[in-house]
Amino acid sequence: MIKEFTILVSMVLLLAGFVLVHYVTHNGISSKEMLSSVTKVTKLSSPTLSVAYYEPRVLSYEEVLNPAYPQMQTMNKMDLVYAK
Amino acid sequence: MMIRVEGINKIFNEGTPQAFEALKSIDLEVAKGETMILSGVSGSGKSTLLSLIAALDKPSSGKIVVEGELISKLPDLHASAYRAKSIGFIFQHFNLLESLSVEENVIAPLINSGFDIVSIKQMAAKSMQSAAISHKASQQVKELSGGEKQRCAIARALVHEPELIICDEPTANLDRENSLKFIEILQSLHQRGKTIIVATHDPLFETLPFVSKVVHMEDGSIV
Amino acid sequence: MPSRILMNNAFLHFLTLLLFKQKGKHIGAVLISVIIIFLLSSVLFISSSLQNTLLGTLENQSDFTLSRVQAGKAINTPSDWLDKVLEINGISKVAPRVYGRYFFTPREKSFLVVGVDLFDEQSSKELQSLVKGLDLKSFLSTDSMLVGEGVKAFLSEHYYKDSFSFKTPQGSFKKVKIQQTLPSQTNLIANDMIIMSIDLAREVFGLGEDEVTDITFNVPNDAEWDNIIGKLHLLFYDVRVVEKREIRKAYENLYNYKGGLFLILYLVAMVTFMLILYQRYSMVYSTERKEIGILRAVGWSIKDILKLKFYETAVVVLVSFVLGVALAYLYVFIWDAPLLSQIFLGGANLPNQVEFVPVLEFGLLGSIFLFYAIPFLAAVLIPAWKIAVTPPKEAML
Repeated sequence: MIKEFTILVSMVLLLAGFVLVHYVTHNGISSKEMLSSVTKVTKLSSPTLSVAYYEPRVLSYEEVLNPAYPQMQTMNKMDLVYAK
Repeated sequence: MMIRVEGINKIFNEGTPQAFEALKSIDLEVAKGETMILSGVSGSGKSTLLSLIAALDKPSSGKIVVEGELISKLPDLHASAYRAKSIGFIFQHFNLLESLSVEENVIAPLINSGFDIVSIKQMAAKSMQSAAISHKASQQVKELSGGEKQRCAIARALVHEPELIICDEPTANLDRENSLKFIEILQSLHQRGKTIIVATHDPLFETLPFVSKVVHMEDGSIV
Repeated sequence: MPSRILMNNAFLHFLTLLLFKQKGKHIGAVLISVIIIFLLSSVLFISSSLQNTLLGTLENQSDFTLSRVQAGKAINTPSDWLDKVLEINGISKVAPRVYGRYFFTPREKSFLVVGVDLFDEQSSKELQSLVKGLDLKSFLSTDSMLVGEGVKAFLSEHYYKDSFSFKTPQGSFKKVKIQQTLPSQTNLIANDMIIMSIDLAREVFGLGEDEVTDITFNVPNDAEWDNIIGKLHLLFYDVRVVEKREIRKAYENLYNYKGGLFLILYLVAMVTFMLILYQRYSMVYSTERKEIGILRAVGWSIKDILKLKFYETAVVVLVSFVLGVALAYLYVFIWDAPLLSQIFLGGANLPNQVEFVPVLEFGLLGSIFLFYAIPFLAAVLIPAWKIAVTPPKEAML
């Protein structure tokens, strides 16, 4: 069964090799450059709302949301704006 | 192979309320090339004595000397080496590796012998031939009949050319025809000068012409 | 030849025999291991990638952001604060920002509208390099906007193909043309973004000429930071200053799946798995027990048995780990983690499809391997050793 074992190991190593090659050769620079351009233009670097970034630090009951801005996060969650 | 058993006692669960004396002051000698039958009913201590001679277990007291070497107090590494080199054990329930084939079972004792696989397979082929099981070499053990399993066990026991063959109730799970075939193999081993010890309550063995002596055991003692 | 020696090695032959002939036994362990490692690695890859990318964007962010507060809430900042801030020694690159959230009330979704001074050479150059084929002249001459992918998709869905009419605080409607869409690689920060001229943004939010949303500035000497913040608080009583280092800390804690609840869940899963393995190998009437007893009986020493079990388990562990991590890598960085990314990124506001930049933290992967391999080996070797030291006859029963 050494032959079958060698085939299995080769396949696994091939997969690992592919991953490493992809990682080494991947040009992440273009994505980073574009994000960098947006930041330079807008001077804003916060992630979009769909990338939920807040961390509720205290397990408390939810405060009533501001009715004029139903999607706006409450104060205790807007850590980036209201620094603790 | 000269075997000398002196004052062997074996107590299971020593020091507990369930302590049981399986062997009581056993003294025995087996000369090289002899075939000895250990007879007695179940529970008389035959299997226990065989285990001690094969260094599968250690006695509570006494000593066993095989070819001048004290094997009753061997550390595991040496006991395993002794079994791998000198003992061919044939078990009552065959004790084969069910997921492997006949050939793969036969080569198991030689894996750590230092030989390469090609040499090992050659030795296995020779052993399977002497046990008349070569035609089933690549068959899975679980597909074999009782007699075939026994022959596979014999091939495994002989693959490393041991001097001492130990059989524990070898025909207990065989029909008469296969039992007689087994006895034929034993006879050929005897003719090759092997020392053979068979523990059995099968009366067929007691009257065999090549048997040197019959030792009766009862309640852990020789009678 | 080494390969020939390997092919003729009896131990390797027997090891591979047991591995393949008993694959039913091993496949279960491999499958469960691969699933656990895959899930854990996927989550860690997503969080590392997002963290790494966001931290990268901070490089171009100013050191400080200053805004006016009233009754604990941020309000518009007066433009004349710009000159006052510039007068403080040690401060440089003072710039106003005009931006805000525009709510599309019927669907309760919001867009981040950012006003940009398009007459600034730097900004317009960056914009042209960002959006290929942008006609800056046409962009400047008409009321136009650049939208993120999420915004474009949303507007198209609601039949706003070429333009959108913003409702201003004065009650009037301002129609703005959709010039172009921002590239998908910017979705992490620009998915719900709308870029327009600063004057247009002021109109949409009803900001006066003398108002901005907040002010950004740099303090090149970081030893001066606390000093400058103190001066600003003295200068303006109603000011809030947010430092970049606090944002950096928030980003570093982002999706901190290395700690907390997630780690507990992983540990629970691993402990359960190891207990199952340990139980299986310890079972009194198991085939494992019989197999070890038989090998002992035919002359294998305890050391030989443990060597066999170690290598058998090591192969399973290594194959499972490499497979799990490799599959996770493919899933996250090549297929952009469908399903899982939606779970972690959330469906808040507009749907987002983020491209993950490959980030491999080898130290972390090494830790995962150790936390997986060592318990696995222990769960197999300890029962195997216990059986190996038992008299073989007992083990074979």
